Amino acid sequence: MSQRGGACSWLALLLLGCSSGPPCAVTFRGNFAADFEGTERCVTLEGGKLSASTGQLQVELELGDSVQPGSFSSASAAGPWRALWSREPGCVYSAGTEAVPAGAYSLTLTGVSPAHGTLVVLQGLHSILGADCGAGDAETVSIDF
Amino acid sequence: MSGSTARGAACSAGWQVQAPASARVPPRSFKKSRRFEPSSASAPGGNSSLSTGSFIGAGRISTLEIARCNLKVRAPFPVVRPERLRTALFFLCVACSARPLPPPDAGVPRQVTLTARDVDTRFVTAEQMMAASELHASGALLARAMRRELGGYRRVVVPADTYFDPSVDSPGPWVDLAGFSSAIESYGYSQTPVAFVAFESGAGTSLARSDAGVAALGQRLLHYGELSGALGRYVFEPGTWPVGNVAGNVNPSGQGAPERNPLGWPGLWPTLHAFDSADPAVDPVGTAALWCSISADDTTGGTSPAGCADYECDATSLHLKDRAAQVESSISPGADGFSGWRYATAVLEAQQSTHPAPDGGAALGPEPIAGFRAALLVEQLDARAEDWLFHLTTTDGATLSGFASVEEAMGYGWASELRWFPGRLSVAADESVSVAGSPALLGEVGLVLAYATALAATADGAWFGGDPFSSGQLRDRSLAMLRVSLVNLERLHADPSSAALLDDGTKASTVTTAYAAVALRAALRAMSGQLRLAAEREVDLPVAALPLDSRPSGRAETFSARVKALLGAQGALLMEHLTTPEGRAFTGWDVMAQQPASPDESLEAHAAAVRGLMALYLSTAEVKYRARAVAVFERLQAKFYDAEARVYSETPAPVDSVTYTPQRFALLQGALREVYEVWATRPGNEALALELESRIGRLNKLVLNGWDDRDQDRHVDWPGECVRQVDGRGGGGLMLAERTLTGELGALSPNPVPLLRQKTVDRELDCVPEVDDAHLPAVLARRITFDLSRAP
Repeated sequence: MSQRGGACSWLALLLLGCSSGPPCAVTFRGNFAADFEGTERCVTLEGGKLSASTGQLQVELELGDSVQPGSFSSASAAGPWRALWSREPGCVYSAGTEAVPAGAYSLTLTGVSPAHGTLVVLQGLHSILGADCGAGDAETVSIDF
Repeated sequence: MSGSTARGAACSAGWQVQAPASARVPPRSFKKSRRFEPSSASAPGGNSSLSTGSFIGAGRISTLEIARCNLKVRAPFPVVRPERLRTALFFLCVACSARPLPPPDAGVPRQVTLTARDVDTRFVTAEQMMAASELHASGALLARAMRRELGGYRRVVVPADTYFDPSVDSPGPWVDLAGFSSAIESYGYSQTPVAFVAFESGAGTSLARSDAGVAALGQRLLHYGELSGALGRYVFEPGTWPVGNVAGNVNPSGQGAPERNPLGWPGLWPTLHAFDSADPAVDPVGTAALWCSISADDTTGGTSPAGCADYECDATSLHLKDRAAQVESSISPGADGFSGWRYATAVLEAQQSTHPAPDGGAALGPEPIAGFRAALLVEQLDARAEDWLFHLTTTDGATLSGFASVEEAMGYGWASELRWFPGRLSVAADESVSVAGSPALLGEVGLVLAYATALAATADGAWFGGDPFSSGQLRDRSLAMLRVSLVNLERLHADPSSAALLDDGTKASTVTTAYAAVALRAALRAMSGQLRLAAEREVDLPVAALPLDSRPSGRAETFSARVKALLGAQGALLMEHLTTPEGRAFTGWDVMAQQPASPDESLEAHAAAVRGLMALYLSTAEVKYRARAVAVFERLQAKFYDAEARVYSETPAPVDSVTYTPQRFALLQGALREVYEVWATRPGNEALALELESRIGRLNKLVLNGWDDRDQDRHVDWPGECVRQVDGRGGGGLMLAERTLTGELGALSPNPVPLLRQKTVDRELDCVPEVDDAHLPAVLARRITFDLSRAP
């Protein structure tokens, strides 16, 4: 028993360690690829609205009332949502209820106060006239928070 | 490196695995990658620290690959020194990288250059017009399915491919290859072959038939001009050509000669039956003496006409240069059927809206030209049906005769004396015809498509309420054409035991089976009042009974039950023999040998299977068809898409060359469209939707326009990126030339006044030249071959 208890303690420590990532880690893949880690929280959840803001990336999702930990997606979105960011030299990445193309998001909330989880957003690239945005028309942004 | 950045370190290690790949990137791409390197000021995570901020060439590491690495680095074991963890994960990620991964759509480092050769320009009517119908379905309708606002595209704006996105989050005009190539180009390219066959070239028999016929037709066209608002702008009293018209065909100095206007629209050459093929060489006059300006049917009311070359208002120079020498003097159900299909969709399109008439009422069509032409197309469809039913059938395969009445044709059944449309008819110089071929399955399928769609058009009371057309004539003739064609599909072409439709008595081809399914669905929809352009991808309501069920069929089942059984038989053939649950599609099935007709792998077979299975799903609501279509589509994507070259190949990729024909292109574009509209638009499939948009844009631009975006910057480096160059300009792709409908105004300025027009050969620099420079009409080539040159 003591051996099992010891193992569990180690496992608990390990799991604790697993959850101690940076407050905001953002991964971009597709047309543009990069990783960023923030030292401050970049996702908030207030009044059923989840907002992610890091640099020029802005995401707003209406999750409905009384949000609990769980899975959410654009396929079953409770309300309007949008995700927008841009980079030089004129490349805009857009997704949301009103965006063309619509793109998608999937959200896994492991905690709500404060918000913890993973948000993945699929966006379409809008290449402004004259801009050379490189290959690929889609972008996947993952935010661990 | 601290322990807290172990994850970043691990992925740095993962990326380093890919670093050698950058050495394979051509210099230009490499420069581009460097240019993308973010500064701290412009980094998306401006308030974040850049942990692993090197920009890999887009897509060099797939998302999945990174995800696999991340799975392993998610737990930062504090007892392990980061350097060791990094090393361990380096090798772990190497192992991950060794697995086969789906190619990222963002491109791959290896450069493949496409060039084109062996362009055969012959116009083969049935195949060309089948493609035109697919192009139409992949045009504005697909763009709407992509959630594009059609008003966001301006055909006269340079550069092309611009979407003036009205959505809330739009950054402003952006380069939209998928949307523009669908809404403007695919749509426009579906219309110009209609103009070539029906109105301008003379590549068919004469609709007027005689001098007396010319006079009578001219008077009817005058009336269509009046009802459509084209009178006084484009249409005039036959034998006249007024000077100083207020708009459209202005003819300011009388250069338009009245003798060139026997029918009301100068140079108009309306055909009855389409010839099977033609050398399409023409010599259009690109002058602007008439101050001609036209609007398209998506500029309702013609409020923003674009100045264009004279041939748009005077079709005289669009006639075949030497008609007798250029045409194949034969007609067929295939040429008439597939062109009729496209004619009828144009009528349906025109019926969707009206525009203000000069007297304040409502004029036919969204703008004058579309309304006028649609009325003429109705006339042509009706005249063809009359000729086929009453003059161009045979009971012995040698002599021509006809049904005594439309009633007799509508009562044709399985027990009637066998009477059929010959598969080919020779046309003599005096336009008399004689039997020259046995019945052809695909041709009959074409006729079903044409008259199902025509029947749907007759439901519009504004057009078929007495003026301009009677309520019953085309409706009854369409029903009669459907009855005879559908009954004969089975009587002449079906395997007696399975009812599978056979091309040559022993083999069923996947392409024909697919189109038979599409046609049978169209027939059921039309006869049950469900055929509407906007509902093409909606699941049909069950059909209980059809108008012709009251007439004896000659079988125990009613007519509608037999049509549904025939559709089910093609479904069984597609499910059980022409495709496998793993998604393999065969080119055909040999019913005698009970085995696939060929072991060869074919893009066309896969694309056709997708098209046919989706039609079966939409007709029956049986999801097994959709599931099989998706399985075949996934295999098509995996086997026939060359990610390096960004091209679909006719045999499994990679290949050194690929040949496209109108049929191959149409089937592929149709398969991508069907999967997009029926499957990718469902929740959860958004990633597929984005991928398909990207691939549809690339397919249209490469194969139709002949533009290989080699540096993938979404801008044409003209003419260097044109796959075929002629006289220092782009020579087009499968699409041979363009005109006003797709932005080729003949001059940089859309102003019709000659002094303000600076002549161009390819105004929007999209690689497709203007018709007067190509000396070819705006139609598809018979074939084009692309060579793929891979950088070492």
